[in-house]
Amino acid sequence: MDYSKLINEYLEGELEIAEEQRLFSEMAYNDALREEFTDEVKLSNILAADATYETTPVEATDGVFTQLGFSIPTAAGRGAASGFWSKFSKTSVIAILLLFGTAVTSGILYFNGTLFNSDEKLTDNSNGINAVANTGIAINEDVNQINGNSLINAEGMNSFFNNLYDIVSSSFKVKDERNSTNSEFNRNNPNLYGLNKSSDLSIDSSELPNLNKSKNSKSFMKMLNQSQMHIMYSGNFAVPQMVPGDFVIIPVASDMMSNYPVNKKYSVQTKGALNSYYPNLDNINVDNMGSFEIAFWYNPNQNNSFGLTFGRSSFAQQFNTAEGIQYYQAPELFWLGASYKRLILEEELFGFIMPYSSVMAGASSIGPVLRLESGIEISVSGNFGIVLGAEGNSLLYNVDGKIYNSNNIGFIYGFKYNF
Amino acid sequence: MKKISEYTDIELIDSFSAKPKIAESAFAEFYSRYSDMLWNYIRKFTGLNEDVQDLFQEIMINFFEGGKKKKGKITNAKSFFFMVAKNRCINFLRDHRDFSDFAEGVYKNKSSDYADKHLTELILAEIQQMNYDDRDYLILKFYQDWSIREIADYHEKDEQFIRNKIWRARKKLIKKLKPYLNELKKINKIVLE
Repeated sequence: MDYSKLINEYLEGELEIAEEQRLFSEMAYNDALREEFTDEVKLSNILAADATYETTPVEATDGVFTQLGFSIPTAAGRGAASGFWSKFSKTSVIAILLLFGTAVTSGILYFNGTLFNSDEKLTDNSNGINAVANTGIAINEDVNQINGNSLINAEGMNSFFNNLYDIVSSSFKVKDERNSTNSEFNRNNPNLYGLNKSSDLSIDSSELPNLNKSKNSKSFMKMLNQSQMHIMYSGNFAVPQMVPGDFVIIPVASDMMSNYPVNKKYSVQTKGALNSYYPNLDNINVDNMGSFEIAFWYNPNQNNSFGLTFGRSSFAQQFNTAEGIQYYQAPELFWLGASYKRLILEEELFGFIMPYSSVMAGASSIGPVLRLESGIEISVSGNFGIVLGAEGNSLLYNVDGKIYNSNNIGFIYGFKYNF
Repeated sequence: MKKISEYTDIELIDSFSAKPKIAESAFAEFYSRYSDMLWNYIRKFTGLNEDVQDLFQEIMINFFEGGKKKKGKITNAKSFFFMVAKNRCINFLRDHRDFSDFAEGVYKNKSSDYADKHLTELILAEIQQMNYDDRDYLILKFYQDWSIREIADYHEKDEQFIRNKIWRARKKLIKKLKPYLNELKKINKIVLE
């Protein structure tokens, strides 16, 4: 029997039990065979240990992917780790997302709620005019009735006109439509004029641009917009001195209001970026051109917005694997996030520039993305605007149990459309 | 939809000729599975030190281009991959036959066990004295962990033929290493006493 072959088959795990017993019985008294067995085991151990084993150097990986025109694979892509999210269980990730979603929803509901309840807010437009300006005056009539020129509650209407007088009389002149002559609106005795119809007072559209010039008029426009009422002036331009008191409310085409920075409930925004990336990778060109972003905003009121944001950005990565290999790469990552935006001023600078700041928290395939952004929105028309600003992004990711960050900072440019 | 990490090797190679983004992902996944194997295969097959990276890159790129042309025709991805690697290594060695730099200081390894390192170097030096086919059998068996069956299929040989080849190679290696193995035994004995 060739016991050498039995040793080989034993080491291969292919030896049957009966032959294995025979081999070991023979070794019990055969010193030469025992020594051969020991040598074979030692050889197998040396081969298995493979003291010369190496992992592929990062330079070789870079060379291959660069020559093929591919981006260098991400940490998650090369299987070194499943990214930042591997730190958490699936359940905890879902829980975090639910908590975040609940917080965003609560914020939206909160702002909606305050529109109903706060005396400082203007109106709820879902049920006509409920509250006017900061007086808390109520006119319990349906907007449709107003638009249809039907009679409404006289007391409420007079109060409304009285308040209107406070807001606009310092800057604008109004006309009593019932008279061919201009007569001053008497705030102390509004019933004198019997102002109880929506068409009783009006303003011509040629006067509308002037409404931007005062804070009072801005508030007035906001109030009218939110109450779904529009105004028109039809006064006599031949009269050199128009007197306060002849304004008001008649239904007009909405495009007549388009020059005004009114609050729209929803907006969509696209954006590009010109960024610098950190860590700085000397030999890798990080592409700016592939970066883009689309955001859908919900604007519960004039100054606060909540958004859902989707985009793609490059991130420079420099990290070490558990094997001690250092990687330099710049993958382009898609991400999805939730945003909050705050318009900083109550009204636009020069009538068309509004500064803002925003924050975004999102998730990419290899970890969370955080952003701070600040800039200006420039109104081109009532619904369309240009966005310019600066942003800073940070990506957190995990490689072999260690958390790394990748940052970029730079300028942003984009467009916004309200609807 | 199946994730790219769940693709079989064959599916990955078939995806090399798909749309650029898919091809890129498929190649990246294949690379993550086989790059270390290829790197060590080249090191052991050629004994090269300086030119391994160039050869590695060339093989990977040739493999990607070759995979694109052979969509649907490859039945064993691993065999196809190492066939490309082996042929390129052989061509390289033939083209650079006069080089005397080979194997000198090649196996600068990470092992702290000097004895194991020395023995491994001896084994590899011995392997590199063999003809290309025998060299391939041993590297695939010893270092790439292929089964006898896989090697036999890959080389289109009988299993017993491969088994005998490897058995003879082991005998030859043990004979070569015997003085060192005996030394190790003595050292171990002293340490144990």
